[in-house]
Amino acid sequence: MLSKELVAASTTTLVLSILSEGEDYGYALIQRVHELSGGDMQWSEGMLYPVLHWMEKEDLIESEWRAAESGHRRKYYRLRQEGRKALRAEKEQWMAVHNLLIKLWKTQPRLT
Amino acid sequence: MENPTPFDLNEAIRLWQQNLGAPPSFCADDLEELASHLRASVQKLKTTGLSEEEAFQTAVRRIGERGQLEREFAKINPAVTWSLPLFSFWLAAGAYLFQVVYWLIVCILTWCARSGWRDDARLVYEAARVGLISRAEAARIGPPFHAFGVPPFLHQPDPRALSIELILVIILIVRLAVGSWKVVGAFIRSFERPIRAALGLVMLGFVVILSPAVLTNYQMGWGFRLAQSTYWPMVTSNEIGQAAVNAVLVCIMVLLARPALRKISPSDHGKAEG
Repeated sequence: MLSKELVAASTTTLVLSILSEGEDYGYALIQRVHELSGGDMQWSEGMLYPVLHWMEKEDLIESEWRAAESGHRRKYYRLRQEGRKALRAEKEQWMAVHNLLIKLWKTQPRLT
Repeated sequence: MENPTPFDLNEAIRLWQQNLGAPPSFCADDLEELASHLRASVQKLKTTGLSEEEAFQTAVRRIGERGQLEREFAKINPAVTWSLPLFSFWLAAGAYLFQVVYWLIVCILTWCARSGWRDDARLVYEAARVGLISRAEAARIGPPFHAFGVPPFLHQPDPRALSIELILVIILIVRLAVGSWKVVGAFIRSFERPIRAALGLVMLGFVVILSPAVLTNYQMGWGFRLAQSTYWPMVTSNEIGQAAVNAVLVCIMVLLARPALRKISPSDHGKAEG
């Protein structure tokens, strides 16, 4: 299970990445992360929405209420141009950290 | 024999929403979205063999505790905490915004008066007082003006100077202090509830009456005399001078209010925990 801090730090990037594949709604985003992480990453479900709203205020994403199959309304989020730019920047940063860690761990002797 | 009431998901969600809280932490949109989440979650959980009621209870647990949700949502729906600097800011902003509305109303009414639609003493008096029409024109428009009388403190500011000042000062207020249109939106959203909105309007009403900016600029009847004699004896009839005094006044208020306003800026929000 990933630490709370790492989960929090990666939330925006994960949302941007999932939405880059196409629009989706809050619950589906949570399900997608859960599936992709094999259950290692658990988002506190209700806490995702303030993040989504913050991202919307930052013009990274936009939302639209639409009727779901059940007849109830559902809010769909999609990426905006600013969001695509932010995703590119986030990718570079995460990859830089990833590459750095890979180099470090390859050159260091095993700890166990 | 016991006959339990069948579980009603819609009613359960409604009660949950009711229990969750109210603005400013949660706006109607937030509550609806959380309800939508609960429905989706219940649907999914039901496929695992849970009853609708069990699925609802599980979904509620998963969505998070009330206090935690409230704290996180409060970050994106900030309640405005009144402070002296913030009050000063809205004192000035409210006064100037009022002036814009006031000008618009007087402009419309003046047009009506000139079109012969209405012949109203008060209207003509107001139009003459704010300088939209001259005293001579006001006298031509109709006998009611004479009946009402020309107040001794009647003053006709230069409409061009006032218009430029109003536009510049409003831009200054909004842009300098707020730094972002988002905060204006946040402030307006914080007045969602009717009682809160009414209180806000009453407060702004007081602001309009009490604001030195209004008193020095608009000479609202007794206020003008009060302003001249008490608050701002240095203010002359020179409109540019008045505009400068007001601009300085507003700048000071803006600078005072800036830290308080920055606190509610969405750009300063911590991201919610995942």
